[in-house]
Amino acid sequence: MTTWRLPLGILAASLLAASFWALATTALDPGALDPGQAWAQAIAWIITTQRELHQGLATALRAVQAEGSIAAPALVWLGFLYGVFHAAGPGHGKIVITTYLATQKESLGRGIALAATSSLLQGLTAITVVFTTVLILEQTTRQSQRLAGNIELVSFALVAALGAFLVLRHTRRLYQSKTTTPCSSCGHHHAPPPDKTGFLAAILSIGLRPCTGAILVLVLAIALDLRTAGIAAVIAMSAGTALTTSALATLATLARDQATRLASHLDTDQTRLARIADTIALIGGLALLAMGAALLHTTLTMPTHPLMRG
Amino acid sequence: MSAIRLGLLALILLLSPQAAKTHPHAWIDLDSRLIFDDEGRLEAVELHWLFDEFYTAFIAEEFTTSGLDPSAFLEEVAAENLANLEEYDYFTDLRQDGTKLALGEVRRFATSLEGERLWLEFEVTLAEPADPEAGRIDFAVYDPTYWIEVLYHPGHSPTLDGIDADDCTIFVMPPTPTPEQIAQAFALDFNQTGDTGLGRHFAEVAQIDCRG
Repeated sequence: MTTWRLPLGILAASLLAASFWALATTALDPGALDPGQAWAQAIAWIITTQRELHQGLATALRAVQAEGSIAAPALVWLGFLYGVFHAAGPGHGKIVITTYLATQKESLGRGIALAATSSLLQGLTAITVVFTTVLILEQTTRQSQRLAGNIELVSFALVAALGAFLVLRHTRRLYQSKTTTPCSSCGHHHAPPPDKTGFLAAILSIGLRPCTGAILVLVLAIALDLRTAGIAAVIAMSAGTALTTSALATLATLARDQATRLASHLDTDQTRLARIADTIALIGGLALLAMGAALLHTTLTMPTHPLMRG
Repeated sequence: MSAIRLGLLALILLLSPQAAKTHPHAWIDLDSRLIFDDEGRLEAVELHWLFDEFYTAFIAEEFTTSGLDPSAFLEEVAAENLANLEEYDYFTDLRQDGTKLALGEVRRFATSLEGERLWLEFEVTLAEPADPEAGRIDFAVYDPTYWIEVLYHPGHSPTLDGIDADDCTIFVMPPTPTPEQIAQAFALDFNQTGDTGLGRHFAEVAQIDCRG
């Protein structure tokens, strides 16, 4: 019997991907052998580094205010590092990217494009939200935080919608493969065309959620009347985030490819392989649907932070 | 069907770090004072919070653009924030021999800008004054949601007011989250508050021992 080996292979590959993810996101204490310990140290390190970078950004903005554009490269560089580190923690974007790419058939190039585009879009969303509320609507930055909260809900709803879309799509395909005559001898299974809708929904569901760090930088930049510098810092942040999430996307795509290759060695029945691939994709859709619903639920029921109300 | 079960398991593993908003986005530099009454019992704590520049800009932007009176505006924001903080015990965790000491009310507060940074200072009473000789007092200030990281100014520790500080030892324990605590914390939803919140594991705990 070979049917049970395939899911096992996929499980192994997923575990591999998960541990790669843990390694990639926790960086970098090669001496520590205990993964729990390494994880704890890495989290503490990321938090400390993030605090230093955040304070560094405030200092760098003040330096630009005092010395002019000569201090701008330092600001942009700090923004980039902040983006790299900020992306190196758990977050909804990374989970969407990993889940989507580990369960859906996408090429490596499209996987990286998904990660990079959605990260850059996050920066653009933050810039649009803050500048629209403050400069066009002439509202306060606290209003922009509220607008960001509403957009966040849209982004979570999109995660759920993406999940529902994938569930429907792969359920239909599974149903069709059952009703058509199995054809294991003709040897060609038509690969489905690349899925534009899912791809775009994934980008939007991640990219529409503005990063709080970016909003705070823009607020301070506007307070100091340094709009251009603020935008430059946020774009650099997004580029840093894109770097980290692209690495993650690469791992997820490669893990899926590896699992698929492993599966085709274990089982040569193309129809069955396609069915199992659809089943995995269906489960990925279910997971995204559940996650989107859970994020929506927690966000709607979660009290606003006591110091961010008003 | 076993394929679904195994696939689901794999996905649960992939999804396990589900904390989406756990790391801090604002910082408070802390100073604190423990206030003792005439009988030498702990009756109140005073907290001095110095916010980071980003949070300051977030608040201050409103009166720089609207032309409101800064001090009146800041006072209004502080009163609002303190009212919102009541259900969070003002981010204050006081224990004696491990038993939580209930808090009373804010009896005084002040707020202003210090250079580029906003500060808020307030005194919150204990519901019942506590005898410091009855047991070690553990005193921690943290945001349970960990959206704000609260740490003492480097090298600072609580001061004692109203009793002879020489009779007590004060030691500020740096945060020492264990891997288990972090794993547990990251398995929680990100809206956890109170004792279950992630912030507790990243809090400094001041141990005040006046038992001689």
